[in-house]
Amino acid sequence: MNRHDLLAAGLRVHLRNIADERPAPGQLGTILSLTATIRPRPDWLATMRRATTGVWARASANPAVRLAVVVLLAILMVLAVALIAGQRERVGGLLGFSRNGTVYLARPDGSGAIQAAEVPEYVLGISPVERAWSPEGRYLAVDGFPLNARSGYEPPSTVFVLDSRTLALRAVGAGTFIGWTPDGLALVASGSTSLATFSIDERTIEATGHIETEVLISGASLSPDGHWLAVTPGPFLVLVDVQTGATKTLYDNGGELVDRPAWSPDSSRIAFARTRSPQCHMCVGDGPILVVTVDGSRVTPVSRPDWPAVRANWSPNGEWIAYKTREPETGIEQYIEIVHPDGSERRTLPTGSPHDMAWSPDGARILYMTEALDEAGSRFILVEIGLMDGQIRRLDDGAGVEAFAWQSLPAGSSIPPLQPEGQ
Amino acid sequence: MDRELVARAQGGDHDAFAAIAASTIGRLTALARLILQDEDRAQEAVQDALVDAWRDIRALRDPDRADAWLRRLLVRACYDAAKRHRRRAVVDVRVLQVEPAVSDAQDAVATRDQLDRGLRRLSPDQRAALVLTYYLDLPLAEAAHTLDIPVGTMKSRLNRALNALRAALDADERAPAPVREHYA
Repeated sequence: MNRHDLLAAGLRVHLRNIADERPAPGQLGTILSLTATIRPRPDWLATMRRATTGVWARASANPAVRLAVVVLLAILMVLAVALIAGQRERVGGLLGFSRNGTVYLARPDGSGAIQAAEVPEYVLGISPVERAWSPEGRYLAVDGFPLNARSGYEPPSTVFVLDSRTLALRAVGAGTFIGWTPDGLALVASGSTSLATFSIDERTIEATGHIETEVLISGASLSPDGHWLAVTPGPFLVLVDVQTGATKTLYDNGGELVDRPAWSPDSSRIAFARTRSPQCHMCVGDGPILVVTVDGSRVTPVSRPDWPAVRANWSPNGEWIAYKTREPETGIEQYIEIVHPDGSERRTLPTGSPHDMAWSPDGARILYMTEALDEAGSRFILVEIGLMDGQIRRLDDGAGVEAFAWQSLPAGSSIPPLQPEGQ
Repeated sequence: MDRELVARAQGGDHDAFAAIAASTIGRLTALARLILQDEDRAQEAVQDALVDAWRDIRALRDPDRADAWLRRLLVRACYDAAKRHRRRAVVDVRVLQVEPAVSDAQDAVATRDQLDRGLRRLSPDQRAALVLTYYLDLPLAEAAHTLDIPVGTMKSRLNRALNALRAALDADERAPAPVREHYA
């Protein structure tokens, strides 16, 4: 037996000795819950092979037909490439994120991040609303907090808009950003019970309206049709007419807080978190996520009955709601779940502990922030999970994020070019 | 693997796939651990392989070859996992120390440790070649098919892997014990 054979024999024994066939605890369950959200792909390859074999057999007898088939296939390939390129452009958009008072823009895959805006006397942060990007995808709303502020309220914060094409940052007005109306007006909470609207174009920012509301503007979310503002003053979910300031109470949680209303894309329903436990008055969202119709006629619980759930977030087509939930027993393990608005087909995504989240414009991925521990200590990083393949990928540039927003571009529009850093 | 289960899974029966996953996850996990020498990456690779298996199960032509197909998916997932974590390299840093005299029993342990260290120094594709050949005892052609390489390439890869392992063991015998350090 030579040295190689001796080594091979020793290696064979060694590998068998160290081989450990015990799967990691819970891994099979994770894989099965993940695959339960996916449908097997149809076998296009086999179908195409069968189809093309027949055509080619007939075509091979006649050179003219064969040439026609080749030309036809080439045209189809060009069309497919154009379609894929168009789709990429449509679902692309820019990723805005903020960190240490500075705003960054990046490509949709997180690459090419550039430092887009900072103001020496302000701490800038992407507005924590679902739609911080303007409807046409050009302007990103940013809240700025003065460095000399004694508290979060006095002196008031200032709303800025960042032009993603020119990287110009302009102050809009005092207050906190609420949302964009479909016609591109920016809505700002200029006080605890007052709303201001501003029209914004490339050169000018103009105040176009101001109303006083009867309720405290707290946890505000603007309906995508721009008509209603959903607010949560204490235990109520209240609608405020943006034009008139008139209010309508949609849900009364009997003295316990409700939080984080989120509008369906068609403005017909609102998902929100409900506090259940009277003993836990400050623990917002220890109950399930509820969906209420805009006329208040129907309330549907959609998350697991006994599991605390918060941060409801609608998919762009309105077919799914994502939310963050945790096991009631341990309270430690946290996940993102997705569910249809009628409470059906609930699925758990193996995301680890998520923080803020957002759907990609094509609804195929969910971005979320999660806490990570690395050499620099604990911080939030930005990752995405693909709903089809379950792949989890880190998107930030390695230094973490504090808030983010994904630009949702109208169909057919193009992604604005990203300027290199320093220009 | 049960042909009936595979056929049902190909028809979209998730319970059948669950049974397949339950019966194969142990062997796949062992393979991934041996190839990647890293628990986290191994779990990642097993998950990727099984998710890919479910998603593409209709592309499996011959249900009787499901085991080989799964192994192939796993090896591919291992390569991907290794690539993803390439930046976070584990390197051996040698420190000088005086080795005390050891008994025969300790010698045996040292040999096992040396083999462990030697395997870690190989590339994932070299480890995959060794694991398929010496742990699974796959015939050369089958191992080559799993790695998606020609038989000739498989032969040379196996030979190179053994030479590299031999070189690593020889170097290990000459050098003092290593201390592992992690670099991001």
